[in-house]
Amino acid sequence: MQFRLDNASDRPVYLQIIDQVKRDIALGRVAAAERLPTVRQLAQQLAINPNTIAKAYRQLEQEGVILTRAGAGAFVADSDSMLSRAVRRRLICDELDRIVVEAFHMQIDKETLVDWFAAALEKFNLAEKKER
Amino acid sequence: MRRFLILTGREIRDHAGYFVAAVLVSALAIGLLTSLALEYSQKAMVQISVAGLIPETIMLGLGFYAFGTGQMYADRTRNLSAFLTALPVGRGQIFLARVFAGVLGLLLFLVPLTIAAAVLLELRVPPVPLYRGLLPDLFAGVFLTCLACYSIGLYAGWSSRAVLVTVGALLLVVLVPLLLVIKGFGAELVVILLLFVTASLTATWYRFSSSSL
Amino acid sequence: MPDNVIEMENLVKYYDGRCILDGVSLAVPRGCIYGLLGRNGSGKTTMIRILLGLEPPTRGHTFVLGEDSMRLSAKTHGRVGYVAEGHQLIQRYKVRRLVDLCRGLSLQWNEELFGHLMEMFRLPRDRRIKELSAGMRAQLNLALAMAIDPELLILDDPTLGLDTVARRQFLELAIDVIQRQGRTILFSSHILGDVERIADRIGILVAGRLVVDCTLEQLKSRIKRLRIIFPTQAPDDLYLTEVVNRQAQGREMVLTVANWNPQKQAILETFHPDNCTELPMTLEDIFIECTRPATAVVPQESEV
Repeated sequence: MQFRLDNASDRPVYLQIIDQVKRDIALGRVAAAERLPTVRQLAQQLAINPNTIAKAYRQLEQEGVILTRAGAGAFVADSDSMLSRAVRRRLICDELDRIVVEAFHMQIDKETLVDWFAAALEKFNLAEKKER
Repeated sequence: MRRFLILTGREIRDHAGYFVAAVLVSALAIGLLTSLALEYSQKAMVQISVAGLIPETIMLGLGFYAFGTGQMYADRTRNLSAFLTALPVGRGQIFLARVFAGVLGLLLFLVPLTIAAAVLLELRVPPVPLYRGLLPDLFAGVFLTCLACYSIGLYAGWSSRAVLVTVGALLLVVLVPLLLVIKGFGAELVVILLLFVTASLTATWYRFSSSSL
Repeated sequence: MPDNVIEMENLVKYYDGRCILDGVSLAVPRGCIYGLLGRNGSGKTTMIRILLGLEPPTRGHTFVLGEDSMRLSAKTHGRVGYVAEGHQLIQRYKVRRLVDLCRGLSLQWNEELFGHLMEMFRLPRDRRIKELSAGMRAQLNLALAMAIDPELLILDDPTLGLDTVARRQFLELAIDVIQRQGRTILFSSHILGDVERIADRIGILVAGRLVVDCTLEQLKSRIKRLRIIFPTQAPDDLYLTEVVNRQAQGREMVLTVANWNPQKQAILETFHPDNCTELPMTLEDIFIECTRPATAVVPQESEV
């Protein structure tokens, strides 16, 4: 797994890591039961405090995205489990809420928003097909 | 112990000039003494020696004063101790190594000279007991006088109020050799000078150990 | 009882009649990377120098590895790696001579690591220190500090003069150090991005006072920036306490508030905002807010 940090972004580092892990799982780049880099490895690679990585991994585990096994490391959770599905639903819906609010403030009407959403889905599908 | 030697070695290397000068002046003095002994009669030699004593000792005093000042001033301007204290060496070790190097320099000057003087005395002067006792007294007197001037130099070199201290110190450097002349060689002089050296070094240590670096 | 590697109790320092440090109390636990921030002249370097016994405090005590700073044993000095501000070292010496001196005087020396660092930094051994660039002196200083396998690294602006690659190398080194058992790092820096990356705890010195001393997370949770949209004009009379900064334009108001709590939330609600979103603040944003002159508003321990 390759991680990259956006230093210019306002988004806290641990959230960036969480985002990337989720993204890679969603894109099928990491399979279920696959091992993630250790806290140590990642801290070294990105030159950030190991506690930040640990925090990201803890939150991912709470959300059911990964599982940690003492001594063995962190592994991608079985993505079809009921728990993670509910978690995923909550996460996506939170994002959707945020986008809806932003769009409202920018005075973008519902129809345009739906069009844009469809276009984004289309773009993602194309990108996914390319990667496969 | 090893670290103390490294520190001393560092001092010597940094101030090699003074050590070279000590050897050269010593050699010069030996040369002068030898030529004096060979050319003049015993009586004349004593007269010349006594006449030249004051300016000689003042010059010597100034020389060792400069040595002391030089060591401390170099530390101040180059932030030596500031760097060294970050290493596992105490200020005490730094100070001791410095003084030790100074004393070594002093001995480097004085010991050959004393040996030469002893040899010359043996050769040119009949073996009267009186003269035998003279040399140790002479050695002690000169050694302590130079050491006193050296310690004043150490104090002056570390002090930040440069001008005032330097003037005061120079006055002392002139006075101390005069003391030698007035008091003459002997136990009294040794005691006075020892007290002087102790006071000077203690004062310097006090300032050195409590200064900001 | 937490093992505090550094402790400061009511440290006060006056210099030339000016107050440099005004009652600073601080504790750095073992295993922590502590980032010390402050504008130029805020007292960071003085604080570090007092810690290492280079200067006496006017009042108060500081302790390093359990020992009083004014009476640090040589052994303790040997356990602390120090990178001084400005990286002066001993200008007249050649690099080789300085290295030999350090190696000879140190209690422990990791030659392998030192050699590796010298190679990585590409530092020449035969040049005089005064001929090195500021960045190279910084790197030499860092290599010397790390070669003694220190338990505690105290770094005063260690990335001064370092180029981008070198700064990154430094960060990676710091992370490598902290991963080892029981190591602690205290460093001051102006590059807040770096501090944000690697620090666990943050301290912000403003005019000799430690106005912030907590974990980075806590700091970010105690000071919030909110974007509030109102149905009509943003109100002029929104009276909230501890507002660090307020900007209003039309219906939108951006509010930076310290110690956000339900009470403040309730007050905001009375103005019936349409929407309230939190804007993430970087450490730089927070730092600028905290160091505004005459703000007198600082993130405190939450009363809730």
